[in-house]
Amino acid sequence: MTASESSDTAGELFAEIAGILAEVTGVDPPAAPDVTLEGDLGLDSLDVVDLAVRLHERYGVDLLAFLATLDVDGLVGLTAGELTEHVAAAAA
Amino acid sequence: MSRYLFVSLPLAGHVNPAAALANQLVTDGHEVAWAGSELMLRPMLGQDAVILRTGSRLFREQGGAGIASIRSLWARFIVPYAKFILPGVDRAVREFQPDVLVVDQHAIGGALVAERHGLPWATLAVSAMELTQPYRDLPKLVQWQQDQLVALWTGAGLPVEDYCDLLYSPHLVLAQTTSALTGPLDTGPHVRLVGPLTAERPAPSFPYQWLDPDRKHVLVTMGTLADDLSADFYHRALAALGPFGDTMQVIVVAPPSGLPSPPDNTIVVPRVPLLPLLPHIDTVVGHAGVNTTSETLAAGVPLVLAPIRHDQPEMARQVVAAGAGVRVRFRRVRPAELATAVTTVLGDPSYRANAVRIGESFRAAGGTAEAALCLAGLQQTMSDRRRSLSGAG
Repeated sequence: MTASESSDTAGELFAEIAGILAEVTGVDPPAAPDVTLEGDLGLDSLDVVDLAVRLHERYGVDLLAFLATLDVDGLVGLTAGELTEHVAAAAA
Repeated sequence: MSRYLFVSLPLAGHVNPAAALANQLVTDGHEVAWAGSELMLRPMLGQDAVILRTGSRLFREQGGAGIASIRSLWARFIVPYAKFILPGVDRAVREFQPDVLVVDQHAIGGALVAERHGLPWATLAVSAMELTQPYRDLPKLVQWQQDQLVALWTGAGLPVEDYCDLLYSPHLVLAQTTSALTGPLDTGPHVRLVGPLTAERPAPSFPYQWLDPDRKHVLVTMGTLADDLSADFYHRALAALGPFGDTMQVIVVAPPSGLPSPPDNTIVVPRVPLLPLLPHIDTVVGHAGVNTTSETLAAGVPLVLAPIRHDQPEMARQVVAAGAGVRVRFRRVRPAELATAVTTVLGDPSYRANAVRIGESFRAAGGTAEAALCLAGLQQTMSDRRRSLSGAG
């Protein structure tokens, strides 16, 4: 895979994840990778469950297991970009 | 007769249940004093309360939501407040010579002083934040909290090898809930679910004659801590429920100046006499604060809950799981969705039946009288133990 193909794939995945986040939270999809899920999108504990189900169905990713690895700052500051990277790594 | 020293947080939602228990103890002939800020406590406890002053400091009101609100609560309030009151509580113990300390689960300074003096202490679990371990799936968050408790322990001069969990007294934990609400809990016999701790309190006036017996009554109350945030929610609630003028009357607890010209079926009042009003209410729209939610369930009234922060999402989760209400999103719920939530709870009798079931469990749990008995039992056990130790020595 070339560098540009790789970045296209990453961009597509980000757009997909952004779309899922928009469906879950009911707000506009995150425009940039540094948008935080809790602070900027208002992702709450109900949304986390919803998001986990969708990510598992689509990518076979265990969101709750990923969140369990994060410390407090990591949880509060979790961004759409970091979530995308995790899905890319876990689904690869 | 025993001497009980109460250590709470300078917040009405924490002091009121503790004060209900303190009043019961006084009625039972015991002696009660409080260690805390007289400035904060006196208006809530009244002129007769004995307050041993720890001084006052304003801690920043807690904002944010979700994990950020938990982080901010601990870093900006629980931990600094524990350090701040430590010397004052220590003085209060030396002055008052209590037999037992009754310590709010998040007033860690009280637990530290009790351990320093080797005194028995009871945890008063007022909030819904700990007992059901809502963050057990986030082990690093739980560890972060424990690390801070250990740091407070060693900072108070206590040996690290003796550390005990400061959120849960090893002697007695009084939690103002029941398993009808929390679901099954894996706790030891020293954790006593006594139900809500509620006392009679002065009831502000209310225009009961305004209530039309042929319509349903919805009470909208979003608590005292979140007035700024609540205005937008109230506007959406009025937009949601205003169109139901034929079938519903709506009572909104908010500063009336913030909601001028409400719909015809709505009145806006700054305060309500919650306990006498609840028998007239068919559903409460609230923020899932522990005390208002518990009092609503105690009256057998189901809820629509829009939790904002701290333990409110967990309280809302419990109510939903128990079938006594539905949850909506505080920040984002649209009027149409909120209207559906309210009509769902009003239309399906199972919500009320489950609220009634929880209310009955609260009464069976005994409340302040049972909590006072548990404390008397603790005091007896500890003095028996001391006697047998000195006898053996």
